[in-house]
Amino acid sequence: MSKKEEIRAASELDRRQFLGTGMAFGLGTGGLLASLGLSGCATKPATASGSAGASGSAGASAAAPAASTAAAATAAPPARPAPPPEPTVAQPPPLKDLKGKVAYVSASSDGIGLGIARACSNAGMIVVVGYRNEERLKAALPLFKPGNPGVMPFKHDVTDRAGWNQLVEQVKSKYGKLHLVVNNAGVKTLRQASQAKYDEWDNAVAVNFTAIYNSVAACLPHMLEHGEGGHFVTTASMGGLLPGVNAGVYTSTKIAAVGIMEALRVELESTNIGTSVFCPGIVSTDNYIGSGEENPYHPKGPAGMPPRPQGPSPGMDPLEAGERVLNGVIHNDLFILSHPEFKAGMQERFDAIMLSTPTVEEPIPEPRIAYERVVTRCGIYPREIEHRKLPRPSYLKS
Amino acid sequence: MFKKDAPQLPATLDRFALERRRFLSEGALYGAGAVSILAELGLSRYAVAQNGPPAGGARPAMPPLPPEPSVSQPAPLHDLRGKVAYVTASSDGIGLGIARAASNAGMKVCIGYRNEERLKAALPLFKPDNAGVFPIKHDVTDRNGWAQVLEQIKNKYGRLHLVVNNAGSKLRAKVSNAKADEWDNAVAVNYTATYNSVAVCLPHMLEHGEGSHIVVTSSMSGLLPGGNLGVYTATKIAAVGLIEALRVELEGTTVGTSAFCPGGVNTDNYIGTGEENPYRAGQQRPPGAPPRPAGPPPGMDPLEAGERVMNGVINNDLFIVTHPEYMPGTQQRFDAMLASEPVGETIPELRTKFETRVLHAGIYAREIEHRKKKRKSFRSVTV
Repeated sequence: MSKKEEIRAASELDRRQFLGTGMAFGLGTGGLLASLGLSGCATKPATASGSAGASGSAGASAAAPAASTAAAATAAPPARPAPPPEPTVAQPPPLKDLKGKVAYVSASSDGIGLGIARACSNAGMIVVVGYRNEERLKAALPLFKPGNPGVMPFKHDVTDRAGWNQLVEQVKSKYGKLHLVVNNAGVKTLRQASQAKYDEWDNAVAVNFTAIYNSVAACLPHMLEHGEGGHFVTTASMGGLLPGVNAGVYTSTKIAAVGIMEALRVELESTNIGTSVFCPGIVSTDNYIGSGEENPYHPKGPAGMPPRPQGPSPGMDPLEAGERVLNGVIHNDLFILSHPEFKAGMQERFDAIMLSTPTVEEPIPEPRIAYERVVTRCGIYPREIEHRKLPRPSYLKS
Repeated sequence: MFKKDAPQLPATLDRFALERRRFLSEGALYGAGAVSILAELGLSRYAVAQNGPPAGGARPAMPPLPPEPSVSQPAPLHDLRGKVAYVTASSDGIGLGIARAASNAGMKVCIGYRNEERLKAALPLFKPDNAGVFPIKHDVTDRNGWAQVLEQIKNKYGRLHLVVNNAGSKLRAKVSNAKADEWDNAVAVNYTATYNSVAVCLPHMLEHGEGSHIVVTSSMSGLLPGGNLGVYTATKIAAVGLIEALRVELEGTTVGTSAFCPGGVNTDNYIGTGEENPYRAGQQRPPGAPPRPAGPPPGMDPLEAGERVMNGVINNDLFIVTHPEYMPGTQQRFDAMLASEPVGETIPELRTKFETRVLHAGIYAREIEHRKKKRKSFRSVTV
């Protein structure tokens, strides 16, 4: 195979990747993309329009020079108002100092939730322990160190919206303010989406997805009002980033949970409310390796899952998981990941999506790109990438 | 493979970047122990040679993994002619484009609608010589309605082959200030309705055994939540996730799955051209919506969008992406996720071993290979 043939063979794949950055769009379009700040590599033909865009006051002046570089400027892109100024760095952590603050962790009488609640308590936070099962709560309470600040149990079904309002009222009357909400309750319905019964599906969506909305609807107004900074965390799962397990009810609701936290970051970035989604791999909880399963839909001995191993439990210690969550909170990490062994699999998923970029058969109309520019990129991600390059001291070492 | 004097390509243009990243994420980060496990499990394509055989004996015995398919699921619905499609909410907008493309491709098309006026305006757009068109009034959140729809289709055409879950609520509300009923409605329409369709239609599709397909019309917001309208973006992300989960589940069956993620399409929703549905043209734009531009509509023609969907169906593409201008932003989203993995940590061997079945999802590796194949133009579907 000659060099030329080799390049040609790979060109199909190449072209799709080029698309991403505007080279294959044609010169005019590439320039337009660059002027909109959307192109990472097509800056060369667009230097003139790029600088014009930087000095221009309205979006129209940025688009106009780019359009003039096109061979056939049929119709000028319609005038649009300039997008609002964007922050240059990721949202600073609103909840940097945990000591004395108040945390609510739903479903924290065992499992990952208990680990998070204990980590909060050890970090000097007042912890409200959401629970449903009194037996488990009794077993959990002795695990909080006696010298730690207060621990308040709160019986709560996260699908109950009135219960969320009661939670806020009780916390306000007892501790004054609520700062950290950890949406940890989840059902691990190991069911295929293609086989789930209606109530199984509805229950999983209500607990794993809508409960997050419920928490925001009830707690956000209070957190904005007291103004001391707050944070929402959701315990999703690696299944929310890499739906590998053959249990679609679980994976798809966890993907949804990741999505709602990203949406909340977009919405709350300019406030003093932080947002994180925690995506752990295996943690040594009842759900995974034990037996005291609360979820009535959990089939015994689910098909397709590995057998419970003998000997020491293989997962991460729940307390360590909790400490990693708090580290994510004090840095306001959008994604709190703890199990790097999933990285290759995640990369595969993302590559599959990126390679689905279509081959451009005709040039993309410039007005379309101009019109879509509000949504063709999302600033929280480049800012998060930069944020991740910063040093990140652990709160445990300070 | 590049010569030394070859120009330095930006990382995003380097066609080996994918491989290199994968190698890095497998080898460098895991440490030797984990790599040997990955290699032993057949999960590592690049790091096998670097490590000797794993130290055996100590680990708990695991049953062998079930054999995985070596290629992506062959397209179950590769021949559209004479097959039966049901497109929800296809009396206008993208749904109408999909229904028209399906009709032009020789399918019998059942049109889900709620508004009779819109339906009346839509029906003349189907070519008279095309196969049958059958309107069905249907609210996709109504589960009994789904069962009735299937009965009607079975009575009329015998079988159903393609379900396009196109109905969607483009609610311009934030998660942080949506009312409870707004949220519940968006979840029911954009997300749970697709589950409803599967619960009702899948058994029928599996029973008749002819190749079938399930599509959901998500949005580019389902891959890149760029707009500040969280109720919409979160539910659209959920819809994409459901299709991915269904691909894992249905890969071994005769039912294919696709998530359609369009950018701007010329629908009333987006620009209000009044092209095919004049009664909504004068409607006031909701607050926060971009203003309607003067001049010709800037988006993709709905019929073209529909043709691209049909092309995705006959190829059984997991993701039907039509607007490449969103992909740099999407890559940034994925990079932010990947950059969030902790680095330089030792991964316990036992843990990795236990996680074997979820460490990767074979559908993606197979989709990557599937995407490398040469394919015909989307226009070839209906020509």
